[in-house]
Amino acid sequence: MHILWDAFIIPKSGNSDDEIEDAYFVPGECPDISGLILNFALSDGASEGVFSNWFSDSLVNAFGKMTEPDLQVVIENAIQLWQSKKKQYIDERQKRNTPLLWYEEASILKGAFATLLGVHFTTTESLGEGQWHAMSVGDTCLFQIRDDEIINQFPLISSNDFNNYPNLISTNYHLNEAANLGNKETLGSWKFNDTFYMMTDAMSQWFVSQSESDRKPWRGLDFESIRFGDFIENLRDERHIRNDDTTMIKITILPEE
Amino acid sequence: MYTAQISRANPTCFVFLVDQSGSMSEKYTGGSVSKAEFVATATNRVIQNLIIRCAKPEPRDYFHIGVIGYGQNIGPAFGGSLTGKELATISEIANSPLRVEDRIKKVPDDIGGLVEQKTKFPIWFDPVANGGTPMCEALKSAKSIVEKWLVQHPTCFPPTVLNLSDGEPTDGDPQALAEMIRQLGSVDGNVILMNCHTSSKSSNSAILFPDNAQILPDDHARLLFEMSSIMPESLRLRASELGFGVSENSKGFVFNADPTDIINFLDIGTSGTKPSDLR
Repeated sequence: MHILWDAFIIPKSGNSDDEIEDAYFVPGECPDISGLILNFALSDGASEGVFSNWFSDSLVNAFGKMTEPDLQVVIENAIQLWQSKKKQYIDERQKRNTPLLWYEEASILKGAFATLLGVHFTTTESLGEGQWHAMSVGDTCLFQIRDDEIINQFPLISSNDFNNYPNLISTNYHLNEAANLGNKETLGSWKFNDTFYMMTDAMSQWFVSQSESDRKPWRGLDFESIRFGDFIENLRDERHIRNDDTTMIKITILPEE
Repeated sequence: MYTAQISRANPTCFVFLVDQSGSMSEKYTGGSVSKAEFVATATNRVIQNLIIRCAKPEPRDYFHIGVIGYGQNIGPAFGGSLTGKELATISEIANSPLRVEDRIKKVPDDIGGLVEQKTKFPIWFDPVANGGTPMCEALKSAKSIVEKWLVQHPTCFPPTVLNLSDGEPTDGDPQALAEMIRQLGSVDGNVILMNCHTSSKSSNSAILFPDNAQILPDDHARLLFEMSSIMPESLRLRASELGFGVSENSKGFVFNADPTDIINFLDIGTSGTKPSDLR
């Protein structure tokens, strides 16, 4: 059996590539993954934080590298990674004799915020099926497509569920109490020819709206013939999708040919 | 309406009108701080918060800000290298405080308690309390600033003018000027004009974001009510988050505000733009 995956990412219109605050984790090359465990992760760094790109990157890597991901451990590891990068940044500024200005100190104290969607696949070739386990904080979404239908959608169900106030993980521990995180977990199974999509919120909201109108938006998500960036820019120009950093991971599970 | 994304290429602006008349020297009941001192502190703080909102960590110029003081003198209230500036960018303001004071604040620790933390408090203008209340002249200044702004930024998220005062104007009836300001706008909507009246007497009950004039106690309150814009949805959402009951017709107006009400007024008045809308 084979699992094929690809990741696509573009910044908000008006921002440069180095200002992207989304981050993703996909496994390295793996031609035959029978009996293995695979992790995928996607995180949307929040604009109201500082160095949110470091935090989203830390979260996806912390999830991706765990054999059995545990959300609290992922968060703890990611915060430590972010704190370490922050300290390195501050030390380098001091070495260059350019200490932090008052607003830099204040914004760094406020910290960074991000969503996280992590999906942990286990595979067993003999039955042509396996399990997946997803965990989420915020509005980054997972969709499972089988026989041209959505059979699973997590964590948000309706296009009305998307707003400007998603739950976010913070680099400040006291803001990560369970009530604030609102974290969710779900389990599912996969079969050959299933396709999974992981998307950050702007694209997720578009995807859900399309399916609520009885359209099948996944049919247009084949980026052999059109660039992902052009596809998203067209949607932005037509105001079908919000202008925001946009990332998608597509995962397809195929039987051995 | 009121949905324009704010960007470095398409910023929005806030203009604060600050009453600096002699009566602002009165202290709040039971407190040691005068209305002038508190309003200056609160306005300096909201400017600080706007800067931090834009800091990545260097400030992105999503906002331009002006502060007009009106009392014995009328004009831009910024001090230091910003003296005389009607509007300045967030980065100019961030890098040019009059001074930065060291203060102590209590912040949560990681085990459910509070710890004292040193914090920097930048100051851009100092309290002043002297003279009459030339509110009409202040509104004329605001109108001029906003008109010039809109010529340069016709597609912006509409400018917001926040007027903080403690008494009746001494230079005429400001209602027509307020109407002219509210009629200005970008393609995204009309200018938002908000009024906060503060009282030093704790016995006077505050009226917060009313949606009809009948509950107001006097002509001055009704005047300020008529002068104020109906709050756009984003401001109503923030007001609801803070626990205020608001309706679709609620005005951006607070009467008999105490210090806490002033802080909430400024928070709500500058909340029309969520951080996720900033690019």
